[in-house]
Amino acid sequence: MKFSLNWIGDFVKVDDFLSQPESLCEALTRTGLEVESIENLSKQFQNVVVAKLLSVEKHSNADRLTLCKVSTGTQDYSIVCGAKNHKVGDKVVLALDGAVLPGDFKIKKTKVRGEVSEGMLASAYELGLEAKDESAGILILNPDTKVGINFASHYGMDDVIIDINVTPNRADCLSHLGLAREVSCLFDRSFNKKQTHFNAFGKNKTNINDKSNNKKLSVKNKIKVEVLDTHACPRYSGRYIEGVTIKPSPSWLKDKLKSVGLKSINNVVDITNYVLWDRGQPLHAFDADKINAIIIGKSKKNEKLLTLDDSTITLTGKELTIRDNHKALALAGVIGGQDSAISSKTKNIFLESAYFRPEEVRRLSRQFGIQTDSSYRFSRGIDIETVTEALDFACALIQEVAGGTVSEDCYDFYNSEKKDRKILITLKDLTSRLGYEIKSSQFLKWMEQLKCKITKLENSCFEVVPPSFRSDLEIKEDLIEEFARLEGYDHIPDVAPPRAKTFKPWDLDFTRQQTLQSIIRDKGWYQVINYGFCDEEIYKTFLNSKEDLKSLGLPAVDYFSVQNPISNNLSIMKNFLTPDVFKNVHHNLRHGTKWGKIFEISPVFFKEGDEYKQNFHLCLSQWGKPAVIRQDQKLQNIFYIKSVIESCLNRLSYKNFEWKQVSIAVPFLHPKQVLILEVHKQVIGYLGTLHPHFQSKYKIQKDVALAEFNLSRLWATPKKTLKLKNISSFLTVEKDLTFVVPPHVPASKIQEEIKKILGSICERVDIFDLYEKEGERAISFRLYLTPESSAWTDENLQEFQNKVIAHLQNKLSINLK
Amino acid sequence: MKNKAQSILKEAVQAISSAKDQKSLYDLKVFYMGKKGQLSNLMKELKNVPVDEKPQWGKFFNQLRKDLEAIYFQKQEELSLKQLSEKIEKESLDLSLPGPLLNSGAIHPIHTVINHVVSIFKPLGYSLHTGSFVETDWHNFEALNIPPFHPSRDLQDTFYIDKNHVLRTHTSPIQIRVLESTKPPLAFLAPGAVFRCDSDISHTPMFHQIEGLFVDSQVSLADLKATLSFFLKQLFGSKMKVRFRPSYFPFTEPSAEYDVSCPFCSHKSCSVCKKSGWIEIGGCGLVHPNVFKSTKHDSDQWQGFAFGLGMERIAMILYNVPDIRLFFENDLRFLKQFEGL
Repeated sequence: MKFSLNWIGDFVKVDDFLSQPESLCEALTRTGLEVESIENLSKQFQNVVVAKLLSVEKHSNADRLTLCKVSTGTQDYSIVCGAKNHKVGDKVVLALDGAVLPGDFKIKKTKVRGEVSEGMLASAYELGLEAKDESAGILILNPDTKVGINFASHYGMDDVIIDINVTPNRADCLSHLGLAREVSCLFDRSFNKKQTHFNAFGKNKTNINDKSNNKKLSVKNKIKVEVLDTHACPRYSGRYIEGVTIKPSPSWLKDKLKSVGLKSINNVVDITNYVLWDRGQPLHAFDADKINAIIIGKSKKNEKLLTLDDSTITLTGKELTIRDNHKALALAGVIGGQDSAISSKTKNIFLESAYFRPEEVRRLSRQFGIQTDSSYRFSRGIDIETVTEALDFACALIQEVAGGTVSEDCYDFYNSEKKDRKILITLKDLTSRLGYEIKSSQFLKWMEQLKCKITKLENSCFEVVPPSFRSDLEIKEDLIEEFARLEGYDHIPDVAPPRAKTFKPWDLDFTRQQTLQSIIRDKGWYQVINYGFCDEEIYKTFLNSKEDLKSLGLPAVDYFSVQNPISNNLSIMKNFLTPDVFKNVHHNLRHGTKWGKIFEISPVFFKEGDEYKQNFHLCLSQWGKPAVIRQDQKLQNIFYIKSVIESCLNRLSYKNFEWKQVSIAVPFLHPKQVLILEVHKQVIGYLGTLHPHFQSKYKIQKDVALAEFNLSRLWATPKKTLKLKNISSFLTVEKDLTFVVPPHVPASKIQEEIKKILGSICERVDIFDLYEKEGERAISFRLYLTPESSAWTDENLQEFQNKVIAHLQNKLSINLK
Repeated sequence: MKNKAQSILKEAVQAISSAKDQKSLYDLKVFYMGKKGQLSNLMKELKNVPVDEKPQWGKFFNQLRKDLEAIYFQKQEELSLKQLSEKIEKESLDLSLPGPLLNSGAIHPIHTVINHVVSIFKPLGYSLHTGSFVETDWHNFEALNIPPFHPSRDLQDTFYIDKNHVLRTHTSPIQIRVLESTKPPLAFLAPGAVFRCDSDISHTPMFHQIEGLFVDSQVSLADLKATLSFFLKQLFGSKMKVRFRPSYFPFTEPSAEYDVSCPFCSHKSCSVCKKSGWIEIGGCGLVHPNVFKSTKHDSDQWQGFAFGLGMERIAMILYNVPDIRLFFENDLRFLKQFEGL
């Protein structure tokens, strides 16, 4: 909220902060009212002063220019001026060397056609006050204006505007009076509610009816007021004002509103706004001739209300409204209706000052998406005790600016459920929560400055009753905070960090993910993070139905939507990471990164019964080919991911895994290049190559491999525990065999069969060469053979080799090349 | 015979020493020392020598052969050394060529920060919980002393899944989850993604927080302050200053926000800290009694402190990242720069 320092000065002395607002702002920030910005208005008119024209002569070298002599009272200046509307004796605005006018217009001492000009006489446009008008000439001030003063102070610009982020608990600071009260507390300065500019109305009711009226005006005789919903509206007050004249506001009022960024509308409406910003009490003025009663109650179903911001809202029968016998007049605490609004023809007013329950106003404001200065304050909670005081203050001001007669009586319904908030607190409470010794005198001092009523009980216990405007102070912890913030958080000592007294196990998901991300990173991969939600339209192009997830080895679960997505392309909660990782690949390709490998570990979401659940998935993609020397350029990316996953599984001790090549029809995958991973007979996920359709659709020429695995299921499968094997004392011998293998026999099958027939002597079978030509292929295997009881001889090596050849011939009909 | 032998030796020594390569050397060996070589031929004449002189001649020829062999081996060594050095000379490699491609890889900077923060708290005995992204209204708001229509709900624009479920707007519901299931004393960290309907230059609809909760029988603001000061100095360096400012959160009382001295201008004044010398880091406070009440713990028996901070903000400060959206664009040109972390 924006505050004008001058306006705060109506209540408490702050003029010493005008030139140095930083010290005030620092104190406010330090005690919990965070100052977000300081705007020192006078700064924009530095070196701009009021001067008097001493002489005006023709410029010797230019017909259109004049050479002027001006005085600021202490010094005379020569100025060349191009305007025509000035004459000797005029009070003008002089911008001197160094001044910077709006639009970053820097004023310098110059020569104009041979004559020295020590500054500039400014027009209203140049001062940023009015729109451009060439014929207007320079600004001629009122003859009474004091020469030599800063233009800023003449124009009421010697003000500082402070923007404060008022936290939700400090509703009491949403007015100038409130902030002034806080300043008076912080700096121990006297606080005065009577304002200096006006005759404050106060409690003296005869004041209202003085001028020109001998009949006594009564609100009771004028209008029926009734509160039906006494829970949502525990206090409602109003006065009737007869015979006002609606016209533009006087300049003091316009200036006040302008200082906090409000537009002037008319005198009556301006006063209601003024009181809101001054006292924090929202008011509403009804044109009394357009209503036949004031009833505070629920709306009627399907009833319409044309609001002040020109929109028509439809009510449901549950909203708290101000209404008359026929229709809704206003949405309580939020916004008024146009039908009963103040217009230029308004003569008689009913002025409302009420307390609506914060939850109610908040609900209405959210329901219709209408936020007003009024709803903001009601929904945070205003001071219920000062509702009529603000009303009377407003009536006095309206009378001052719009004339009229104020009703002698005041309608005041007050459903007081008053229970004094008595808070018990001990010095021990303070000491134990703040961590340092607190003296009772310190505590008492601040509680008094906060206007709390405080009673000392026995055993250093106090009973504290906070003032009505601090409805946020409810429990002793609130008082501890008040004390701590006023005393300063800097007083709280640092003690050695406490250690946890118990040890609890870590969240396994986190630890496992940490391990996995390090393993994959160490293989040269880059981790990405995508949002938890994704684009439903794009998602649907990846899968035909949730059954596709099943064929990919992932849980076949439905996704669900976000009710209020930030945009349509972030509307569903993902049950599948691949689309967004593919999106990352596409982004990188479009931005010139033609080769890369990325992975993501994130949760996916699904609903089980009424419960929302999440699983963690791992998704990887590798695309393109790196530009490197002497590397196998033919190896497709899918094989790289395969290796990484196998390495991960080994590192994580999931030794019992198997890849199954399947032929599936999932839209985004190449049907002939898909592997399903099984760990301990559990399907964990897929690995595949992007479908050529997708490649052409996204204009991708590169080979793109994608994979996704369900980590939650992987974590649940048994790991292989380490059982150390004795290593043989004999030499391990390598034996190379090359077979002619038809395409329908998978290489892994041959590896498997070799291991099977040789048993424990065969430690490993590697594939080290592949020759493919026109449907024929030869695969070279290297067998690592370790003897059990004695060193190998050529004969028994040959015997095993023959056994392998015979077995493969027999079982798979394949022959040695 | 002696003379003949001497002349063969002389001839052989000369021939061997002028041999150009291993092949001609070997040929010379065969010619002079082979089974049918010069030396063997000469030795055939031994049969004519008187018996009593035979041992003497035998010694003579043995010596002769040994001498010849010595010369031969010396030459052979000499030639092979020469050959090796010629070979080495030809094996000069352009070592400016790269080795096989091994990418360094990188963990996402946000996870790097999370891992770093977690590693600072681990030795202090903090455990770790992650919770779930979809939360009930109760855990995300009500139990944290944020009833419906509480003004704080305005500050956190919430994504709704249905009437009672939201995408968690902060990591604080993990406090409730843990307090519901665990008996104090306890201390844990809760890192993770959170969601708010916000998207502009400084906000993304998803971002990451870390929350810490410490509960024991007596916990003061001094404990909190010391813990956070320790943590922040570990994170930003020991020269850094920490400032605590009163603030408001529904689930802590008293509440504070904490700032660190601006690392960009060394606490002087710059555009990053908006000329204040301070950078806002996060919020903290003592656990509100209502939080203990809503998780069925006796608020007279247990006290605690809680703190939270945004990971993107920390990463932006630590790594000088100008725009929060870079974290979610996943451009490799950005991510590759984090290899060294």
